[in-house]
Amino acid sequence: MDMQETAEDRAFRAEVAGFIADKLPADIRTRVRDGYDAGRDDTRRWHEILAARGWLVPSWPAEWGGAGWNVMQRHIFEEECALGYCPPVHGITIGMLGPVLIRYGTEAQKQRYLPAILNVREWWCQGYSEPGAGSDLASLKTEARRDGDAYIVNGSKIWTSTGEWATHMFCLVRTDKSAKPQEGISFLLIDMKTAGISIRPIHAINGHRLFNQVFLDNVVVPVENLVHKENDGWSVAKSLLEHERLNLSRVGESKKRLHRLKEIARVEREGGRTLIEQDWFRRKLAALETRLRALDATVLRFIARTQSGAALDPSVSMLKLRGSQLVQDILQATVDALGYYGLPFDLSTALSDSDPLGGLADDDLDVLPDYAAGASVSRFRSRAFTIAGGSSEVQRNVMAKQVLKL
Amino acid sequence: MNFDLSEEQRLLSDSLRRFVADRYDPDQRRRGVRDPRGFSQDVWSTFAELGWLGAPLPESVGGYGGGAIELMLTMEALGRGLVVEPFVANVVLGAGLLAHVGGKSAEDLCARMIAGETQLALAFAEPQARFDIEDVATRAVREGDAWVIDGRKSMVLNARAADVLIVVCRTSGADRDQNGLSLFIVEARTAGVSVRPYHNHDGASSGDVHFARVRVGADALLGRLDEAAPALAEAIDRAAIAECAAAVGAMEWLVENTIAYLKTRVQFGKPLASFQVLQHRLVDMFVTLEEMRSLTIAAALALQGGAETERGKAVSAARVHLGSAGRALAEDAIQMHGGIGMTDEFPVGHYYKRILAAGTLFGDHDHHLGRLGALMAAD
Ligand SMILES: Cc1cc2nc3c(=O)[nH]c(=O)nc-3n(C[C@H](O)[C@H](O)[C@H](O)COP(=O)(O)OP(=O)(O)OC[C@H]3O[C@@H](n4cnc5c(N)ncnc54)[C@H](O)[C@@H]3O)c2cc1C
Repeated sequence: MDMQETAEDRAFRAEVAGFIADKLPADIRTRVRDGYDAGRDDTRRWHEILAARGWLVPSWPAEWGGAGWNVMQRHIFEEECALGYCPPVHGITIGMLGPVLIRYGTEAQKQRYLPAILNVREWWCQGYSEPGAGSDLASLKTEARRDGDAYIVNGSKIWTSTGEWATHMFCLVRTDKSAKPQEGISFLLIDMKTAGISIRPIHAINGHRLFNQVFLDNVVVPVENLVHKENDGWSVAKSLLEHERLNLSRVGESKKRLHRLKEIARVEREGGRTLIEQDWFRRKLAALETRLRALDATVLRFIARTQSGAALDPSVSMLKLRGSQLVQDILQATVDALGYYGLPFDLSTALSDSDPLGGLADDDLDVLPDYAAGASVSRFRSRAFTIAGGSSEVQRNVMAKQVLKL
Repeated sequence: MNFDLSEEQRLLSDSLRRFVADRYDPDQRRRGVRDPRGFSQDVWSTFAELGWLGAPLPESVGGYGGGAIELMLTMEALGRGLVVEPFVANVVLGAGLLAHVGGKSAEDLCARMIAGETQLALAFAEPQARFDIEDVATRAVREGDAWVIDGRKSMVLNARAADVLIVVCRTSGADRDQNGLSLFIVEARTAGVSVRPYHNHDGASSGDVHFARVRVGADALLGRLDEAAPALAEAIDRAAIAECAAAVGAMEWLVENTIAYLKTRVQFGKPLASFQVLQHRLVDMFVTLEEMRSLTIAAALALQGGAETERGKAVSAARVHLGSAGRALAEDAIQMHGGIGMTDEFPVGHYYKRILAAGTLFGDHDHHLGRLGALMAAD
């Protein structure tokens, strides 16, 4: 047994780290390091840089721009990007829609949509959840009625992340109301500029516009935008959730955040000494490090299994279950490390949208250390990690049934 | 043993809860947060008219003679309503400390605060001090008949609106000595005082205050020179329990509303409340709420008449539980609401933030865990 990276892996790691040091713009790096969400502009700039190097869609097949990396290299790349404070790539577009089209799309669909992703021209959003269909996704009600060469779509999608900058939405719709819930669903590609689509912004507890509600009112979608077979969208939807499951551990992110916490603890003081010098604080760090090491080694075991050709079994859910909570706890510990400066917060974004009176212009967050405001923003944002993309409860249900066969 | 409220206490609690339920909706709250002074004067004037500002203060300073239990009942109601008006800054930290120290000028200030005419703030925390209230680098130095103050205070609640600041200064000794602390009354408009305001994530208005050669008269000294530490510690403990009580009010709302939500939210053809794992978590939330209530009552009683060590232990125990189980309760409430719990427009997230802020103000979980351990070891 051996947990060491090979010489090639180490060389690859150095290559990725060198590329990031060279190419990641300093302003983006600072924003990401300080905990702010990457907006459209930062994401676009980073996508362009990655695309120029041929690294935007590494896990796609080579003919569509993939890098031909093995699982370990993909893992190293993800981890180095996180540790180097790169903005995350747009997972909905690159990790979800791309692989689905590659597997299920027609040749025409691939030709139409994949190059536009590689050229950083089009962005997707995910229209799965509805007000009445969250964990129980199969109960979705947005309906698509066939009318000649088109579907007429009516309904509403909610929690649509980056809906405000998406050019397109992939959408689950009900095409057969008489079938069993999972059997009457289809997977449609919808241009966001189509008449009948309107968007309501939804602000989150971190003050940012994290998601949207999308209303579809007699939206006309050409039949050629159907992916896979009518009424068999559920298999497409499920396959999408299976991609990149190893990344759901957020292990790179946790490493980065714990590293950042250590840096902050070398500055923050108590009783005339820094936090990192205090025994009680070291124990807190050690407890988090223990969980991180457990996660990290478990991820590597899954990678090794995949490298040797085994299919990922449902127990991979444990990575998301533990990984999401670990990031949350590291971020909360980071805010705790700030003492009173964990409290000040920029309320202006959230308030200015729901109230016409204007922002809170006289707030003076400059008094805080530069790492404080963003730490608070990411801590609030991280509460979503145990909810979105299969909640912790759903992960446990999956493992209880499919792994423990209870 | 008797945990019953007196008739007056019940009336106080009922009237506050009714006010919050009937007159303090999210729009009212938002108006307070947005106000350039950080709260609504209308609401504050109502508090003054109904006698709530004097309820937990002794008669010697114009209060109504209540104590920590009245304070607890008030804060529970305010926490339940997410009230942002600066009650703790004025009544607990400001007037509470003034009442403790006594004297003519202190009594006059209290009377004006109780009437709703004067806004108070206590400047005690400092950036390097974390939660140690005796770590004070701000210095007041005697120059002839005057005192000259230099330093920087952080997290001064109500800094934006305060007419009068009570400033904790070092007048002798080294930065972290227990002795050598003194209190000064400083008009906010005095030359050299500058406020750098901000909001806390729970909507409370706060700020850092810088003192650059701020010159005040000899009469600005409040209480005895160099001996402010015990009174300060008492006031901070009282405020720490006020925040626990506010958290109890907020937890009450979360428990009731998370139960109600899970009873109506249907997934997989049945209400979420029918899933046993979620039932268990609701039970845990409920039990945590009752534990927090017990710890808060015990600490309030210890504040009312206990020995100093017992007061410290009772207060710290409540704070430790708030920072661990209380925080977990709030996180669970968001989790069980799913996506809607993450939104700014739904109240759950605001209750979560209020409980987090309550858990930090006047000493967080780690601070009080250390303090409780030290007090136990000293016994
Ligand atoms: C930040 C964020 C971004 C998102 N982005 C998108 C997006 O881009 N596109 C999209 O389609 N969706 C998106 N979602 C939606 C996300 O997929 C849903 O929030 C998730 O599926 C949960 O659904 P719900 O919010 O309706 O909660 P509910 O399903 O109502 O669940 C509420 C709570 O009950 C628990 N629960 C539910 N069923 C069970 C059960 N059987 N046993 C035990 N516990 C249970 C849940 O785990 C949760 O804690 C996003 C969500 C968030 C928070």
